[in-house]
Amino acid sequence: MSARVRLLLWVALMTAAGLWLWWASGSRLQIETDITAMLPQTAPDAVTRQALERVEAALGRRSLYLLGAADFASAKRAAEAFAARLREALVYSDVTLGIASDPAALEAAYGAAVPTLLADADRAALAAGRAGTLAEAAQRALYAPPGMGPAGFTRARAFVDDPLDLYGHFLLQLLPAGGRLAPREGVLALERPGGVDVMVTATLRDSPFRLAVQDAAMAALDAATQAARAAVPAMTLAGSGVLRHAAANSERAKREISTIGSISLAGVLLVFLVCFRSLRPLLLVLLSLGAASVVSLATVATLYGKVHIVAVVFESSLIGLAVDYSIHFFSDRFRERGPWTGMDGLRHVGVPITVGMATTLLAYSAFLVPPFPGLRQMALLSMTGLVASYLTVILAYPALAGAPPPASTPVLALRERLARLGRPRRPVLAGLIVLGVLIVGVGAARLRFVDDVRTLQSSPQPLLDDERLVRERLGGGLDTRFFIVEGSDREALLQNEEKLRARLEPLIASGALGGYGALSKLLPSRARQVDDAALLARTVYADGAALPALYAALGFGPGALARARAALAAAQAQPVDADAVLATPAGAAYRPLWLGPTARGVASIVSLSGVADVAALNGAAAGLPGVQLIDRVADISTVLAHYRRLALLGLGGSLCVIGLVLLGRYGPAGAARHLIAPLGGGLLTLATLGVLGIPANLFTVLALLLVLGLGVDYSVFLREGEASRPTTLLAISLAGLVTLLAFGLLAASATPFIRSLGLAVLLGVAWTWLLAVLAAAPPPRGACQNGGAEGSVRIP
Amino acid sequence: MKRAAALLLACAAATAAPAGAGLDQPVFAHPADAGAIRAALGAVTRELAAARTISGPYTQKKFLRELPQPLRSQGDFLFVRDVGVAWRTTAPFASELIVTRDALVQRDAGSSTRVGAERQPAVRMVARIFFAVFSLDFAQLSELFTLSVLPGADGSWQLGLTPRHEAGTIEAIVVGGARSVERVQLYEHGGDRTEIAFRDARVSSAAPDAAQLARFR
Repeated sequence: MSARVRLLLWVALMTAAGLWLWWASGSRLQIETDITAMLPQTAPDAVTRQALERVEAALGRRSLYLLGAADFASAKRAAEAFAARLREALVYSDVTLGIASDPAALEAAYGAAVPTLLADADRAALAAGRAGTLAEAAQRALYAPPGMGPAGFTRARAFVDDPLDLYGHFLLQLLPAGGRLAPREGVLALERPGGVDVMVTATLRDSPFRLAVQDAAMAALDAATQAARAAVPAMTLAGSGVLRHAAANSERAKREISTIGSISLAGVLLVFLVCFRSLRPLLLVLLSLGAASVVSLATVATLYGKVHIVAVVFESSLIGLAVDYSIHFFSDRFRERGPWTGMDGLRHVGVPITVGMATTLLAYSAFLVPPFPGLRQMALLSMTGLVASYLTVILAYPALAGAPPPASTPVLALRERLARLGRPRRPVLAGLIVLGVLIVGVGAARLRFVDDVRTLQSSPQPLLDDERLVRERLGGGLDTRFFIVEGSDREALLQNEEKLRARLEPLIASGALGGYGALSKLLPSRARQVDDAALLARTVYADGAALPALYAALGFGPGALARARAALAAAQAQPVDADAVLATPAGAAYRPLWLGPTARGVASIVSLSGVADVAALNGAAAGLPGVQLIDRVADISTVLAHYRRLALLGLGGSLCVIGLVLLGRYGPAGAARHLIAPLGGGLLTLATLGVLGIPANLFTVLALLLVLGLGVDYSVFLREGEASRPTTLLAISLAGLVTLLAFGLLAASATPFIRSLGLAVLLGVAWTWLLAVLAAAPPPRGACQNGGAEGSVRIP
Repeated sequence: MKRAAALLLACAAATAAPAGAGLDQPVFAHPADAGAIRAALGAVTRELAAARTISGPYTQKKFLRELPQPLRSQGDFLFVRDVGVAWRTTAPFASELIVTRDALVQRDAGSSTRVGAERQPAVRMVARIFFAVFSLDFAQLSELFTLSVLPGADGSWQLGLTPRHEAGTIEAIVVGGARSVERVQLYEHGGDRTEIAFRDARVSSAAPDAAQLARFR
């Protein structure tokens, strides 16, 4: 095939890929920034999955802001300006300053059932025979100023309708536990030393992990902050919510992609300008990198619709591999001083880079096997990107290479220096081997894997401080753990919740739990309602019980007692109308807990706050039917650990594939010798992390995948290009330098998982290069050329 | 004429449905802003604004729906500006209620119940209303209530307060007096009503003494 035909073929392929990407990005390409989206579904079944989605939608989209000032009026003014500006933004579906509370609507929704509603504490008191104590407290409250005594300010109904104030206590129990916010002039305010905060709740229309949502929401947030500051210059703002963390993380990832990407590109350009003294190779490298990006993104966009931002970061590191082929191609120019064309280059390096690419592709395909969307995306991005840059070198370079100048003096000097690199003398080599074994031994003993998802995703410190401040001021926020409760129908569900609550209450008393939100607080089960009515009839309404005595002592006529008894009888016969209660403003806070019908019946969530003892929570769910504790953070960490092990296995599989390919091509001794770089590079990288005390994780293992590819390239290039060993050495050294430039920077990333990735590649490239050079170095004078690595040590 | 009509309306409402009786008091037919009220109640406002402590005996009558006779109690109170209110009941049984910005404390024979504002934020609202009514703090009152005023011929006045926002059991408050606050009538949702009468209240601009402050500890 002539150079011209090759070029035409390449242009056709790239045009197709470009059009494809253009179509795909217009219609469906999205960048996914939620790290957990990379992981496979952790939920054991559809019901749990639905619950998780509901919880994430409810909690993930909601942000809380506390606007503070020295006095209430200023804080309220600031909050109103803030909320008004946020409401203008379409990206928010709901912005509220207070909780809607309409006691009359709630009482109307309960209707005739009100007399059967009991707070947990009152139920316990009545069951323990302490009805008299309640009656006494109610009577005392009558002589205190109205609504002012400890027993008086909860009163919701007239005395004669609810003498013991049982409904008032029931309503009090509906308030969020430990809440320090109080309704004041229609907003929720919090008084603290030195000022007053007013709370604004903002709910996003869509997931805060979508970049478009982040951009719009953060712009609105900035504008709202300015509006609030314009209204009250001294206002303070503290916020809590996924949005700002997600935005900060993707902002940082974007910034790092652009800095790391551009500095590594600058490094590549510098190497090219210095070594090749022409703009042409440089432009061709950019062409090959562009082709790699277009083709890989087009493939992933077509197959997945979404590209994960981590995969993009990973792909930007692929520059290291893609550049190998280009450098190897252009370095071929340095073989001789005479005229050189692109077709000459292709003839010399075509086979090495084809073998290198095929081996790497086969190795990477091991990562397509586990059902891990993130791993597959990364492998796919890498494989397609490699193919594209390979095709660019093979098809486009021969025609476009032109007639580059021969090697400059410094490059020639470097090449000569590399060519003189021989195998070290035996004692030195033995020492090196002992050192390597020592590092691997010590490192393996000290290596730790840390899979906690919280160590992989960190937010900027100011945001974390803000979050902590809000939690402190509000007295604890919602926990990431929660219970899913199920039942065959709503009644069974509510009964199961009540059994769970009976176990949670002691945990609150002992301090293991701050509080919880449960639907059954608002909606007692029918069974509970009937039981409570019987308890009330026996301990409060019966002749000789608390109520007749209280009425008599105060001087109510006999009609009052008769009417009270009739009301209780009517209440007992009247089931609570769940839909009506949930439809009230007070019910709104409970609606997110209701998951509705599922494949197994109905389900609900019991949300938790202030969890201090996880083991106690696990114990609370034990043995209860239809109750399971969901701990998303622990689940994700478990999955990360699981896939880290899977990825290690995949890595082992890749090594086996590489071993087989090498065996087929170079025989047992050659295969052993060429496995030294990929295998030893990986082992020494892990061992170095162990020696340095840096924990490894899934991303370290993923980085080793790249190291493996580099090791294969270096070994294969050196073996296939043996005829021009000095030039090949020069080529892989330049390529290694470029990769180091790119990955030295990734190791400086502020995002922990990218840092893990970068550090592992940094170490991996260094070790791999060293091992490849050592393994391929000619023995000092007159030794056997094709001996295996172990064999060559024995050669004098 | 207007007043007569309002009275008639109030009577009609009172017989038809006890609930809502509070808002039918004549004073609520005369809405006013804080400035107008300050003008009408200038003298008493100035005196109370300078007060550091107010104290004196009180009698309370509680009218419960369906109960023919009111429940009577009596005792004394002490208001200390910036500190709180100590409300002591002496009959029918001894009890004391201490209201400060941060807590409600009730002391009965041998027992003491404390409700802290950090656990029950409504305490702050209770305290705020209590203090504002005692000291006729119109800035606070107009923030919490819609105000109306009905001046009497003899220098007496009636002040009507309806909560701007949902305030628990309180439907409306009527405060009456001449040189100081003499009566507070509190109307609850559901038809219960409380009347508190103050006699011989001592208004002092002197700082509270140690014995007075000790009651709040």
